Amino acid sequence: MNIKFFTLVSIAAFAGITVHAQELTRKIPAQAQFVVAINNKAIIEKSSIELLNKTLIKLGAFQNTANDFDNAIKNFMELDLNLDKQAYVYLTSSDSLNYTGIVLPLKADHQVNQRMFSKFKELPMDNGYERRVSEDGKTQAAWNQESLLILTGDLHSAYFQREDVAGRYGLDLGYDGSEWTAEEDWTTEENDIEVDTIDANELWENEVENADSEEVEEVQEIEEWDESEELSYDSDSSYFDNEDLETDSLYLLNQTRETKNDSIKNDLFVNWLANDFQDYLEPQNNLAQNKQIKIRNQKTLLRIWFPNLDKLYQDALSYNFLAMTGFDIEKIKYGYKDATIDLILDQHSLKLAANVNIDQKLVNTFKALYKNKVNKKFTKYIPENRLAYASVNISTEGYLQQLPTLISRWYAPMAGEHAELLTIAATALEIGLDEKSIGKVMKGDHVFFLNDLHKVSKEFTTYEYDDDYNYEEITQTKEEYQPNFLWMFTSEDQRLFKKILEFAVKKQKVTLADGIYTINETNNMESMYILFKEDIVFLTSNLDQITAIQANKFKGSSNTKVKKDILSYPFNMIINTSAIPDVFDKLEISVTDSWGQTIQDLSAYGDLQIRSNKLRKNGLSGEISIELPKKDMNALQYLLNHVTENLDKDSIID
Amino acid sequence: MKKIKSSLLILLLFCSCCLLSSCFEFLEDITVNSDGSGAIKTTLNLSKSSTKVASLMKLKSINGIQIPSKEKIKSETEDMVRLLRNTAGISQVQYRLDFNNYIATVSCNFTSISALNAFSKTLGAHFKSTLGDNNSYNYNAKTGIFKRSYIHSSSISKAFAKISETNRKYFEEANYTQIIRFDKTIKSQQHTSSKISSSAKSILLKLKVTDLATGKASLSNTITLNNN
Repeated sequence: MNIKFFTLVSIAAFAGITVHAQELTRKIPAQAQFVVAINNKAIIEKSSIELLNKTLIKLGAFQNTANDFDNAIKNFMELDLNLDKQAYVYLTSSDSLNYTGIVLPLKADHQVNQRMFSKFKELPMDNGYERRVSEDGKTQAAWNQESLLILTGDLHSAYFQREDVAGRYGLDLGYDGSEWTAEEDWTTEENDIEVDTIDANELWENEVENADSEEVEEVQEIEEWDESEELSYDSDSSYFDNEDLETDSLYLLNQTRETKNDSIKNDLFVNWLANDFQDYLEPQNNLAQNKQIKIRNQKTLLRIWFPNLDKLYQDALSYNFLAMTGFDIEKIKYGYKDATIDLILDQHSLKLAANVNIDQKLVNTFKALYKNKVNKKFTKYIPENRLAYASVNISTEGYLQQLPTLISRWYAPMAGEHAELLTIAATALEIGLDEKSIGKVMKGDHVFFLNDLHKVSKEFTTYEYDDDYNYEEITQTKEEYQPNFLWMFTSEDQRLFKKILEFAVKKQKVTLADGIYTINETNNMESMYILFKEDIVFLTSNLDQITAIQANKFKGSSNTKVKKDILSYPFNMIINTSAIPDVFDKLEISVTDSWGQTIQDLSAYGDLQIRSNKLRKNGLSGEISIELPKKDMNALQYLLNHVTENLDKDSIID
Repeated sequence: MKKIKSSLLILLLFCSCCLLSSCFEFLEDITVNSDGSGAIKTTLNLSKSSTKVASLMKLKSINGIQIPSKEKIKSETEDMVRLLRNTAGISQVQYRLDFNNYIATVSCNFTSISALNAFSKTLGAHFKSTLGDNNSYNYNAKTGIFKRSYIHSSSISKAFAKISETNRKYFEEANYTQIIRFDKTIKSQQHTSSKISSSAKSILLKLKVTDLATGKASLSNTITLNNN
C-alpha cells in the first residue's frame, strides 16, 4: 500500500479536542508503545481547511493516490473524516513484528465504502464493521459509522535471524549449523580455490532441490558453466574466471535463498495480521481511561505519549544490538517512565514541550543535581547587547556524589562483562573524590553571553614591489568582525585556576596586568581575558568589558526576563534569531545556496529558546520554542504559507 | 612555465575561490635567460582571508564542492611536485605550504621553454584540466621575441557564472600578478595592462581575477627584447 496513503490520511485526520474523544481511545490497545493524538479541530481553527488543503496538495499528499482512492478524491474536503474529533496513530511491537494503527473519526454520513479502498479486497462484515484488505494482505481496514481503523506493520528482520526462529519457520539463514560457507569462501586463500568451488557447488545443488522450477533452470545453466571453467583451471586467467563464476553462483544462490525467505515471512505476516486484526479493532485492554492522550486545550495541536521510555528504549535495542552482543537488556533501566511531547501553538510562537515522569531513584539523582541556587550576583553582569545567552546550573558536588549511581545504573548494563569492573571503578571514584572540595572549585552554575560583534585588526601578508618589480612580503592589517563573549561561573576556591595561570605567565602564554590575565592572541584565536572577582570567575574576549567589571563600572541590563531565565532554570538557552543573518554576513560565514534564503528569512523571527525546568514532583520537563514572523494570523498559518511559498519557488526554478 | 601558472591558477584559484568566496593573490615570478632557460616561482596567498579559510576548512563541502583537508592539499602538492621533478628539463623543485597564513609556494628551474610547455600539459592532465591546452609560451633566442598565447576557456566563465551574486563580490579584491624578468632590456610589449620596470628588464601584469574569469582580460602578450 502506498505510503502516501497513510501520509494523506494521517495528516488529513488532524482532529480537534472533542467531548467524544474517549470513544476512540478505547480503540487503542493498552500495549501501544506510543500514541500520537492529533488535535484536528485546533489545527483547522488555527489554519483553515483551505490553507491546510492547499499545503497538502503542494506537498504532493494527493499525488499518486489513484491506487488507493477513487479519482474523484482529490481534495482534502472530500474525505469522510470527522474533523471535530481527535485522531490517533499508535505503534505496538512484539519480538517478531510491529503494528501501526491509524484510528480516524468518521462523519455520521460518511461514504468510506464508496470513496476509499477501491483497490482493496472486500472481507465479510464483522460485528457491524465493513472490512477490506490490501492486495498484498499487509494492510487491513475496518470501519463502522463512527470510526475507521487502518492497521499495517512490519516484521522485525533481526528476530528471524535467530537460529531457533529460522528453524521453526523453515527459513534458510545461508549457513549449515554453525559453519558459514558463502562468507568464509570469500576469505580463503588461493590454494583453497578448488575446495571452495566444490563447497559452493554442493551448496548450490542443495538449494536447487528446493528452488522453483524457473530458478532451477537458471541455476543449472550457471552450474554447468561453472564446472566447465573448473576443468580448465590451470592458468592465471582461469583463476579469475573461476572466481567470477563463484561470485555469480553465490549471488544467485543468495538471491534464491532471499526470495524463499521473503515468501515465508510475507505469508507469516499476512496470517498474523489477519489473526490479530480483531483484537486491534476492539481491544479489550485499551486506553479508554488514559487521560494523557486526551488533549484538553486548544493550544496543543499534537501530543505524542510514551507509556514507558525505558521499555521503548529496550525494545528499540533488543534484537538489533544488545541481544546479539550478550548484554542483559532487562538491566537497562534508566528510571524514565511515561512521557509526553506536545506541539503547542501560542499565537506567533510554536513550542515543543516534553514531560517525563521518573522513578524515585532518579528523582533523588536529579534532586542532587539541581540542589544549588544560582549565584545571584550573575545578574549584575548582564550585557546590554545579547545575540545569545545560555545558563547551566548543575551542582558539581551533587553530580560527583551521584556519579557512582549513574555509572552503575546507566552505563554498567551497557558494559557487558565489564559491568562489575565499572561499578568497582565508580565506587573507587566515590571514595577517592572529595566532592565538596571539587564543588568549591567550580560550583556548577555558569552563564554565557554572546554579546555582539566587534571590529578587530587582523594582520595579513601581501607584497610590496620596487621599481624593478622585485618584491618582498610585508604585513598589513584589515578589519574583521569577531564575536564578543562573556562567560562567568562561581568558584569559591580559585587557587587551582590561579596556579595554572601563573604557570602560563611563566611560560609567556599569558600576561598579568592590573589583576587581569590575558591569554595571548594566536593565529586562530583572539586574546581572551580572565578576572577573579569575589566568588566569580570571568572569561571574556572584550578587554573593555572585563575592565569595567573589575572597576565596578559595568553597566548591566535590567531585563527581568533574562534575570528570570538565568535564575530559574537548570538549563536555558536563548538565541536572538533575527540577528543571525547580520552575524553571518559580518563574519562572512559561507552557507550553501539552498540555505541562503532560509538564513535571510530568520531576520523576521523572534527568539529561539531551549530550556529545562526544575524537578516537579516526579517529573522532568523542558521545552523548545520559537517565535515566528508576525505576518500571518498565527505561527501555524505562517508555517503553512511559508511551505507553499517555498514549494512555489522550487517549482519555478525547476 | 606559464602553463604551470595557468594550470595552478585556474585549478587552485577557481576551486579555492568557488569554495572560499574570498580575496586572494596569485603571483607568478618568472625569470627567462637569453638561452630560454630560467626559473619560476608561483605563490597562492590566501592570507587576507585566513579567518574564513580556517573556518571553511573545518567543513567537508559547501554547495556540493569538496573542501580539501590539509592532508589532501599536502598530498596533492606532493603529487604535483613529483610530476615536476619527473619532467624533463625541470629541476630544483621546491615548495612551501604555510597553513598558518594560508600561503602556498612552488618554485623550480627550467632548461627551455618547451620543457615548461611539456610540463604544463602534464600538469593539466594531472589535474584533469583543459587549461594546459589553452596557454603556451614561445621564445625565439635569435629574434629575442617572447610570446605568450592564451585562449580564454568558456568553462571558466560558466563556472564563475554559477557563483551567486553575493559571493561574486568577494572576488573583486582577488588579483593575478605576473612578473617576467629578462637579462636583456625590453624593447616593446603589446599588453595594455602590462608595465615595464625602470630598468626595462622586467614586466609586470596585474589583473583582476574576475576579469580573467569572465574573459574580459587576456594573458596573451608578445614581448620583444633588445639584442644588446
